[in-house]
Amino acid sequence: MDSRNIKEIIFKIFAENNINIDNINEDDSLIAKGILDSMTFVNILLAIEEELNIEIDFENIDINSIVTINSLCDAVSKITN
Amino acid sequence: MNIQQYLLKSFKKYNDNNALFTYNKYYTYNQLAELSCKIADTILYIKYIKQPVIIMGSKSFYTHAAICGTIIAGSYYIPLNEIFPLERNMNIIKLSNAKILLLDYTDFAHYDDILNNIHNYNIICPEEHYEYLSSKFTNHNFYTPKDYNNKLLDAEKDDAVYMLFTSGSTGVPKGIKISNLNISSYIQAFIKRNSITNQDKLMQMNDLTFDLSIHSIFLSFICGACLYIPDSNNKINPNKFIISHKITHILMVPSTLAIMKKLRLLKSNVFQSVKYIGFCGETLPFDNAILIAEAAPNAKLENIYGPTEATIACTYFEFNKNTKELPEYAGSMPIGKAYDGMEVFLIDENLNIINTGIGQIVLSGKQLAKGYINNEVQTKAKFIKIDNKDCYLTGDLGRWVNGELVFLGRNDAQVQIKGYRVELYEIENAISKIENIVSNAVIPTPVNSITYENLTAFITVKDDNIDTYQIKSILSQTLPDYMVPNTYIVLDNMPLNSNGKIDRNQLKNMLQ
Repeated sequence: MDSRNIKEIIFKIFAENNINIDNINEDDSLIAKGILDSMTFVNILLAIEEELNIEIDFENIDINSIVTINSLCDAVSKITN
Repeated sequence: MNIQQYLLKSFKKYNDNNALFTYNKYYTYNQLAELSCKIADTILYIKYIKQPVIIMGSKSFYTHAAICGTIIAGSYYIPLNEIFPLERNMNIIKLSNAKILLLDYTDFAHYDDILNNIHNYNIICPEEHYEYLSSKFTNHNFYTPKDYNNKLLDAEKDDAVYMLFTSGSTGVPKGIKISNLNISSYIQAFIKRNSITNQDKLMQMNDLTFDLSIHSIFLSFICGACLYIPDSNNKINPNKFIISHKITHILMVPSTLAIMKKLRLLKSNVFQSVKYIGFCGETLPFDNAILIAEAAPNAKLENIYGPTEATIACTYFEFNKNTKELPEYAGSMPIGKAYDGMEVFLIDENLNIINTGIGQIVLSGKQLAKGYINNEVQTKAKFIKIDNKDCYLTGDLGRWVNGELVFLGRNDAQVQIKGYRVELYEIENAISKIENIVSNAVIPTPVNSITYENLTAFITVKDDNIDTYQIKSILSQTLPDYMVPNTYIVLDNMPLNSNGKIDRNQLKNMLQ
């Protein structure tokens, strides 16, 4: 799957969780900017796992490396490859 | 000893030990002492009295020195919160009567909205911020922390250390002042049960406006330990932070535990370094609690309970992986017995103390505040005398089970539906047992009326294909009809407030 598709899927999942990310900087931390709370973010991560049938290694992943739209897309692309 | 003396003693004693780790940097007790004492001196230079001081910051070294400095000046601090709406922060500033404000603008989003809305405040900021702030906000007087050689004002036992605000039902927050006597009693009771040494590392993951932050900040600085502040990203997944920094003491809300469980982080023996974990702020589900017992095998575990009005927490229940769940616990971990210096009991509707059955939880003892600073009506209603003792009516329900107190939800979660008295807690508990349901909250409708007609259940689910008819029929097996909600709204996420609890006001707004 190419990275553009992954981005589309991730955007779709945010939309399904009623989080509007159309107008945010894709390099801003979603958490620090208060765009979503931690529980919502966790639910979105789990939804991404399910949708793409992947498993994110939460034990070892640096959470800082997945809190922006861009970094999240990158990280998920790496896992799917 | 009061908190001012405790802090000054630590500053002398622990010198080069690390006091704080925040934004990826360590700061020693000497560094903390130097800046705190300058801030104290500057506060007293501006006005030589004991006074309220507003803190605008969240995690930085300057913000922590601001808290310590205010106390060393013999004054008391009032934190704002960058995630509060502007109106709430403005309300707090107004109600506090403070004229001095401590600001680290790099540590508080949207600080400029607040500074533009108030005028003629005395603002103490870090030296490197002075030029920028004083040219941008000409409506305030700016100061930087300096030595003025003022004699410190000694704090007395009844002087306040901090003031926090809890939401009032009318929308105006209620201010609660916590005194040196209150907080010293809390700290002494806690240290008697749980040792903290100058080798320990305490993690502080709560907002300054939530009193769980006070537990970690003061216990750490008083015991000479190092306080670790994870950034907001690490708060989601504190796993790595705890392991890599070898954290020894943690106080968390049960929601954090729920997140760790969802992320599959609660594996056996992962938190080897941890010596103590306390849970506070909401109901601790029994099964989650047992998972943490296995993840942190060397930790002493406590469920602690208490309202802001009684200083952080005033009951505790120690548990471990062998703790047996009793049906009377209603799925949660008990909240146990009173802290040293405190008394806890249950009363019925006529204010008689009861030993059996469900009653309202009442607190008495050294940790009790004197009342709300700006709300005489609520003070008279909640702070009363029973058997000639000063008591606080919590509005929480509980029951004694084998000498341990079990928390059974809020008193105001009790409503009349179609003439019946209904405990929302009991319904939520029944819904939570249904497979596929992750979290739920029941709201009586129509909202904002005195007499309710129906119940609406908000739920989040694992699998989207949920049949509400099926939920109804399962509930009908255990609940009388009038307790079975007639409307079900499936949410993607349960809204949480800044303390991580389910935000019922947001849910009510969805129904309006």
